[in-house]
Amino acid sequence: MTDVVLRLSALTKAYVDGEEETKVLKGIDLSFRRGEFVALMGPSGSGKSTLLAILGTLLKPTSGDAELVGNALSALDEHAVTRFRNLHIGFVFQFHHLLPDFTALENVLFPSYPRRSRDPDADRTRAVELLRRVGLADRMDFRATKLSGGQKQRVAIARALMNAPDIVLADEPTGNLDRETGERVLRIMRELCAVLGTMFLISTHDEAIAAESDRVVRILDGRVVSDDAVAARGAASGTPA
Amino acid sequence: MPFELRVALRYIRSGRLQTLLIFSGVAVGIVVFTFMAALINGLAVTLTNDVIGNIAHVRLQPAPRLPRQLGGDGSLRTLLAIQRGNEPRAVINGWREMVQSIERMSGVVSIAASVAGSGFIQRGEKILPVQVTGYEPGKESAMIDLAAGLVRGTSTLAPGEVLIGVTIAEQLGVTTGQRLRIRSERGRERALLIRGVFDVQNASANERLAFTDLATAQSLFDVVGAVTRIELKITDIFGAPALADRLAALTGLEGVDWIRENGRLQAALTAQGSTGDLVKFFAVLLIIIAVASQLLLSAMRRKAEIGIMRSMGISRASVTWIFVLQGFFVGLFGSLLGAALGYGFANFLAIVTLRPDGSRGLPVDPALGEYWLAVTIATVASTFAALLPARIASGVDPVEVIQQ
Repeated sequence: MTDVVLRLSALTKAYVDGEEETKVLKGIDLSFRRGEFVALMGPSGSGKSTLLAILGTLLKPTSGDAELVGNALSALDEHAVTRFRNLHIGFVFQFHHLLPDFTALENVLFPSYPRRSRDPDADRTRAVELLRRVGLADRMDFRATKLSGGQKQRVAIARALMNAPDIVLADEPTGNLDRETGERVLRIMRELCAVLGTMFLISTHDEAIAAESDRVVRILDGRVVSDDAVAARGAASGTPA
Repeated sequence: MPFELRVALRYIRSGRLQTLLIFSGVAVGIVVFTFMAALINGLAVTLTNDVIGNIAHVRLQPAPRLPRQLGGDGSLRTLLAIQRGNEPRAVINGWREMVQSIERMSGVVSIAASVAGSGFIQRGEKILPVQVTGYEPGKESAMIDLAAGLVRGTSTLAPGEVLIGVTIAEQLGVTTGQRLRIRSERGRERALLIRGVFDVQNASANERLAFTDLATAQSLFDVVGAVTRIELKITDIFGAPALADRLAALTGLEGVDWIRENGRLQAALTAQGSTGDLVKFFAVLLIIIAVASQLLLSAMRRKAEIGIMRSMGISRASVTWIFVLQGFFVGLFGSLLGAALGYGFANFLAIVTLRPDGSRGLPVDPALGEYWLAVTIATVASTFAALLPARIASGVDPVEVIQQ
């Protein structure tokens, strides 16, 4: 299947504290297609954040493997992982985590810096376009500290998409926003997913997000307990392993 | 511009109070550094000038004749020995050609051939030991600026005239226009007319020195037609030992320089310099601690930002560079500010402590503040001081930050 961007095989993660081992993920098998908008749901402590960290190459799994756009992540050394993360993965966090000393435009441009692009004008054009798409073209020269919470989160979404990544991992992206702003942010992500073909995997407790998604994966106690296409949207169906 | 540089400069610019504090810390350290350099170096120059003001920088003289044994080849018993003092005085013949030749060498400020020896000045019942030196006419002030230190009379000498130190004049109760009798170590005596009395701000010189014309000295010390030494003042005073050795090799005479003759001054200057270096070392240490602690605080405060950067694919090396560059620029800009303040402070002190006669009350020489050395050392030290914060920052775990 050529449009599979992410495939997880028998993925486990355990934390060892002294002689005590805590298994957080107990064998995850999943695959995701390009352009899918997937909600990852589960109660606190179910392993959602750990799964996102592993998919984001920030954590190594204890066993099993994750394959992103044909690359087995376990085969990459630290330098390659860092570069891979920069080129293929975007993050959106519950707290926007913008760099306060930089403008909205500079924050969006930031992921492009490590690439040492030979065409900074093209990067700037893309960053401006992304800010326009999230409705912040008129705020691009504002410092991050001068933006509202919703605006900051929209800048964070634009930043996550700067390098045209294959997947965007979002951890409770609307968790810190009021309902109206949260809905707007969700709508923007949904639109960008459709327009850019980037796969979004959103960890959330919010059923409203689940309802807007193509697919809902639920995990409990480190295991996938359900993986369903959202019938109402009629979009890509789930592909439980 | 590399993004690490852009981020480093932005962090410095946006830090405001933190940046002000860290710049102040570096600047204060550099003010201390440059002030100590201006003071210690100024003091060294003052002391050196005081010492060399009244002496030749290089002196050429005949090699001393060592006592030798007659018939003492080791296998025979010594029958007779020639002792120092009983032999004819060693002199320099052909001195005019030597003087003309050396005078043409670069770096020679002035040169004078002279006859010098010990003697006594007698006036009534009073007898004082003196060092008598006879110069060619017009060369009286070639080694000691007698003209500038003249208290009474004139400094130009005709045959049969003498210049004496102010202490000698006071002790003998004489002044210009009077006569006194000089008896040399060779037993020759001359009655000389006091032409001038000098005060060269040196107690020993004022108490012991007397100057005559060359012909008078030659007759006093039995060296008619010859001289006993050739003296030089040169531009590179610290090159005196090398020049003395070179001239000794060229002329076959013994070369004596002011540095080797004033070993205690050199030791004092070295000790003084070491003390200054110690203070400068602590000033640099202060800079290192200030920069390291401020950047460490910055690394802690920006932990979340660093974690996010790492999650965006910024490498550990790039994070390290961001902090090392901050250290570099803090050191560079802070030390430039400190050097400017240090120069201003040294000038201020030099001006406010200036005496009415134009001499310095405090031996601070603003030109000797070693400003570029201070800037270089501070910049390098500050860059190295940033390594620890940089290492800590680059080790930030993005997962920890994200989960917070």
